[in-house]
Amino acid sequence: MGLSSDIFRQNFHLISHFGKIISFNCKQYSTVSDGEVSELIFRRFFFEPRGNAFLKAAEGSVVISRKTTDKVEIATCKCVTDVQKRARTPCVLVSKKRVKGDKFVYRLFTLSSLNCLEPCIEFKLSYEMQDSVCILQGPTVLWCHENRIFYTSIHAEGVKQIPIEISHCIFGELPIPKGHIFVLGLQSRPEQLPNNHPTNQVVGYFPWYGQVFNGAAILPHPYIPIAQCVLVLSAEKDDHLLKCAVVAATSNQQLVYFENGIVKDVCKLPFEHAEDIQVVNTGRNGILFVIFSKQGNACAIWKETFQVASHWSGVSSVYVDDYLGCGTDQMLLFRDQGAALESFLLTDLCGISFSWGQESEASKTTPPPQENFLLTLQALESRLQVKTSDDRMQDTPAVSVPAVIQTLSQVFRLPAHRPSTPSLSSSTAAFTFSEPAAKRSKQRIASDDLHTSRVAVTGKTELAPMLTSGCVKCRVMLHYATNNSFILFFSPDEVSEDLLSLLTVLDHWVLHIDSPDYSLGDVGGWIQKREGCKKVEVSPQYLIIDSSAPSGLMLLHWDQITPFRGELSIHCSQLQMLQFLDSLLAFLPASCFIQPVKHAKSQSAAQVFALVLEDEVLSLRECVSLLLCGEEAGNEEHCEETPDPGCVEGLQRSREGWQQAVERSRRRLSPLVDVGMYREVIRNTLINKWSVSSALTPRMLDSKEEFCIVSNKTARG
Amino acid sequence: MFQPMSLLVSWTQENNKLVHNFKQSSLTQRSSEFDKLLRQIQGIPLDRHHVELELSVVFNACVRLTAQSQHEQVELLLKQARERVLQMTGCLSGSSDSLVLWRAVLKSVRSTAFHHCVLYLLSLQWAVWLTCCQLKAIQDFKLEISVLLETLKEKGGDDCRMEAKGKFPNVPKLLISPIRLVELLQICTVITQGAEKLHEGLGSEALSDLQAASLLPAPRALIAYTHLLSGSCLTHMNRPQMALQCYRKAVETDSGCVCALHQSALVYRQLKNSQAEIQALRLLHSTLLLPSSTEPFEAGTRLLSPSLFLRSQSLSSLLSVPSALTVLHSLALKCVLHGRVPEGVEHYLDLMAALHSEDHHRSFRERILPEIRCFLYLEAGAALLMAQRPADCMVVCNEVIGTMQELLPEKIVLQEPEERSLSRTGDVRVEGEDRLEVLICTAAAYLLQGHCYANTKDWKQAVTHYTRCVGLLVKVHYKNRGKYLFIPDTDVQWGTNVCILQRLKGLSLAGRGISFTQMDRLKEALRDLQLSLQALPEGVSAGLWCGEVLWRLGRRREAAACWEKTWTSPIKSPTETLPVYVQEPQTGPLLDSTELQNRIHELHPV
Repeated sequence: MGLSSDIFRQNFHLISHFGKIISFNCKQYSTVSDGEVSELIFRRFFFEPRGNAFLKAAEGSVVISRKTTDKVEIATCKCVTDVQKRARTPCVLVSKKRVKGDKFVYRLFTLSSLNCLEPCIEFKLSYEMQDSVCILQGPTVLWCHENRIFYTSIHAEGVKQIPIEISHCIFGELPIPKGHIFVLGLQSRPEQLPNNHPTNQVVGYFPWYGQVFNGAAILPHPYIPIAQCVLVLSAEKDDHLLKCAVVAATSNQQLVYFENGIVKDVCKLPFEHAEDIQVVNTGRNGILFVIFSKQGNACAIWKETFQVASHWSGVSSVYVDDYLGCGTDQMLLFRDQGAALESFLLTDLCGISFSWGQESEASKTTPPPQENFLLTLQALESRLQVKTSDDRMQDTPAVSVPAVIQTLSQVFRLPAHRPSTPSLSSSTAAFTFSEPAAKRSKQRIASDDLHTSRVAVTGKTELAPMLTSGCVKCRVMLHYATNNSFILFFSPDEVSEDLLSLLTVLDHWVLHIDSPDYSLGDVGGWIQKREGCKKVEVSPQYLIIDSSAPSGLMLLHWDQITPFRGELSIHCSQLQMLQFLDSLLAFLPASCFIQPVKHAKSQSAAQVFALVLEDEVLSLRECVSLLLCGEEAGNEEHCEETPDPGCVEGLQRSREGWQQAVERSRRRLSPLVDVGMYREVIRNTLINKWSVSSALTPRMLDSKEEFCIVSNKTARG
Repeated sequence: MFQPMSLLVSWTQENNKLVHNFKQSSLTQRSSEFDKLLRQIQGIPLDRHHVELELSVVFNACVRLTAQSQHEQVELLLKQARERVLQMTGCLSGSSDSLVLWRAVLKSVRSTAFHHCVLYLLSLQWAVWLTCCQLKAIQDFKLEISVLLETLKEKGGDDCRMEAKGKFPNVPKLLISPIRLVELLQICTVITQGAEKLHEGLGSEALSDLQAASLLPAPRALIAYTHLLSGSCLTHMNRPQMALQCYRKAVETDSGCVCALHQSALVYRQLKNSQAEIQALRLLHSTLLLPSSTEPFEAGTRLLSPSLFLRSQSLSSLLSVPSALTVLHSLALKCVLHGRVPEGVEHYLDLMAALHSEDHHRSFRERILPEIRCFLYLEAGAALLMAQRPADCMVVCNEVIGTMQELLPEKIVLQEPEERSLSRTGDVRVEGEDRLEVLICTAAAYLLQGHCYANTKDWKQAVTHYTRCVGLLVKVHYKNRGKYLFIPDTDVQWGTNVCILQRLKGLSLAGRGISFTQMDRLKEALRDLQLSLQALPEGVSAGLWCGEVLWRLGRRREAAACWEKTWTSPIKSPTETLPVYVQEPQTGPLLDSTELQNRIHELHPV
């Protein structure tokens, strides 16, 4: 051991430089000639593999102060690139403080290859730097004081302040030739920058160039407050583009790998408070990151797999260099107990391992072939998965769902009638609701002769009002019964008429929904929960959706055949139908099939009905005017001279005249018509209607509602 | 300067890429991908910009883990997510109880934009509870779960639609639709709860829930399960006809619902409706032979199979179904016993063929014991004889005799169960007892062969085989003789064996006696028939033929008395408690009762 014992008693700092360990310390002693002298001392050590020890190679010192009242300390030391020499140079920053006074003098020394400590920069501050000081290439000294950032270098001509205000500042350098020292942080005053997006809140600054840049390219916004140490691995920069790969250790106990500000990988760190990341190039075996914490923990992480390779505790410091001169890096870990240089581990985790004074338990080394393990795992996993897929292929779906034959015939219901009210009906009170529409209409075609049928009216009302007031409004059913006791019916109830009209005039789609694997659930309930949806009172199986949209109303009818099948009738415009289907699809199981069963082009139906109505109006007008004209002609009166109202006779005549006038106007209001002619007119009209409706009926057969409308109109005519 | 992509966007894209890859080819996906992404996202403090993304990734990671049944991992992720949400909303509570924390989280996010994301995670917690059968936790969270269902069903539709259209590339996608997940959980919960209630004997309580659940949107097989369990509840409530309706619905819903067929067969058995039972067994057997009947859940739910959530023991036992071979055996036996002999014979032949081919596929250890196989063969032989196929019956019996030859014991001593229970400890069998079945097998085979020869009127061979049967039976010695003419119900198997021995003896002696009669060796015939009647007093043919021999020997009054006695003793129909091969053969030489009556009349002219 070539170490003097005083090195361990004093506060000393180590750095690694070209495969050697350099120690710095300050020493105060009294001399006869100069009195009290404060000295900065360095010692250079090299590793001697055969002796398994560090041996002293060189030593030197420089006097810092000759005053007793001066307190001399090493602020920090680091090996950085000296821009002038273009070589990595050990730097040490020494502070000198007068005991009485508030002036702090800082001096940066560089250690030359000739083992001389050379003064490089000197500056004075009115305060003492805290932990935030760091030496970067140049050499440049950067520090933070009261949320302001200062720096100095040979070229900077004194201490400079960075012109932007940031919090959570991070210092670092880009590994590119023209030294780019950077400062990163969150801008304190966001309004300074035009775009207030979170991405832009990360501000970067190059002090040498006085240039502001978007710091999120190095480290994204959420990581700035939690980053504990940052290392830029590679960088590419032109005027407009900054691309870099970065690793950062966070207070969330993670090592995060970034590329261009995007997280590419994370690794859980086995300890908290990381403060230093170094890169170990082990040559063929790949690259390791060594992370060190002040609590004495260190771990090595493979860059390739981003997995922890090894983890040590009880470590006082970690250095990376080629101590053996073998061409690749090794890690040098000093233990925090005992003499620093006497208890160490020198390893690259790939075959090189020297240690002294280490207990075997202290090292928790994971065997390096992590990757192999992972590869094996992957291979096994993929083989397993292949087997799975084979099994699936063998699994032939040979079962077919048995056809369950449904024998329920569709019952056609007209708008319901309140069964509780007493019926004052005439003989034909029976409602033949039970027969399917198609059946009935067939019968009707067979017995086309109007004269064989008879009309019956059924009224239904509450008993009490009829007994008391004598004037009752009630629903009336007009039956048209043929010899086959076939009954047509209609209800002149306005509400149901509205429904029927809507059903007829609106475009109509019937969709068959089939979901063989997954039951449909409560489709009806879902429809009812749509906004503005309510049941149609007269016919509750219909749901009406009254949207405020200009396209207007939508009528729906959901008929669930089995839990897996159903039929949906939609009456609305095409656009509405598509919109509705769109939202319905989200509700239905993904595996279901929807097939349009029928699309009644009611565009033409509506036109046909309009034409029929027009015809009806025209023919009625013609017939009625014919009827009335005849009467008018017969009652033609001559206008007599005005009688003298003075005499009795004149008065009498005037009265008669007036009475005649009253009579005339009364007749005009309710004219008498010839019964025979009237019957003829009505009969013609009816026959006209019947022929129209029978022409329509074949295409109505598949639409019970429309059939109903036809019969409705007919009966009314 | 270059604008770096925001983390939110890049993570969302990564998540969506993983989801997309997964949907394209789930098989090659490494399960850890979502975990890795989640580790990245959880590396920064949760804030309102990231919360939807983070919770969506937690959801996806948990879905993957749930699919792999890694519930502890799921719990861990959910716990972390809860803590991070509480940290963000500033509502950290000191409790470590999962339910308390869930309530705290739900309360803290109630009116926020990411309420639904937390509900998605709650649905995964529900999944964990269900998988681990923690029904109490589900019960405790009934209210929260109903809120979950309502909120998701209201919100869900819009989300699905957006996702389907790919309108919002920056909305984090989910591996499965949360609505489908909760739908699955909802019905699986009802099914599991129903099974547990049934297990506790509270089937009637579960009925209404099960019936309501049958209307829920769910995979076909699960709807079938609700009907099945409703049926089980009704069976439990002693309403077999309604239960049958439910089982029918279950089969209609899912033709592969074999347990419903099995349960129907059991109900029919209980109702003593053998023809319907045979029908149900036949359907059950043919369904069991279909390739997919073992796996009720297939495509459509490939990521989270419903079977993941149906882990209750009670349910498994309800859903268990005997093997196809067992069903085939029951079917064959039922057919033979209930007058469908030709059909039964066919089933027995199928069964034997299946056993034969199974032997080639199974390892030695899994093979069916030779004794059991032999009993099946004997039943088949008896059925063949009933179907007038004596030659085939002979072949089958020869097989039995060949198999058993080497195992035949020299001598067997039988002890009464009470004595045995006193004299032995544990369940160790008395030496030689395990060979009793071998002996019974062989003896029964000889008996059947004797019947076969009698059927073909080869009386000499018949006598030889009956004699072999008798010869085997005398190897059984009874310790403490004299107590074995009744069937002790203390030990069913033992009692059955004694009874079978007794019947074998009676039937073989009767057969030999009848054969001697046919050979005109009347003295030997009389001896055998009388011995037979001693062993088996209810033997009909022994009684009738004994009378016949007596008649021929001129002892007419005794003959008449013997016939009268036989006619007056109650006639026993084929019974299921005794094997078919020890029931009285219907194939031997017959005596015309009318003729015998006439003879009695002649003897006592009125």
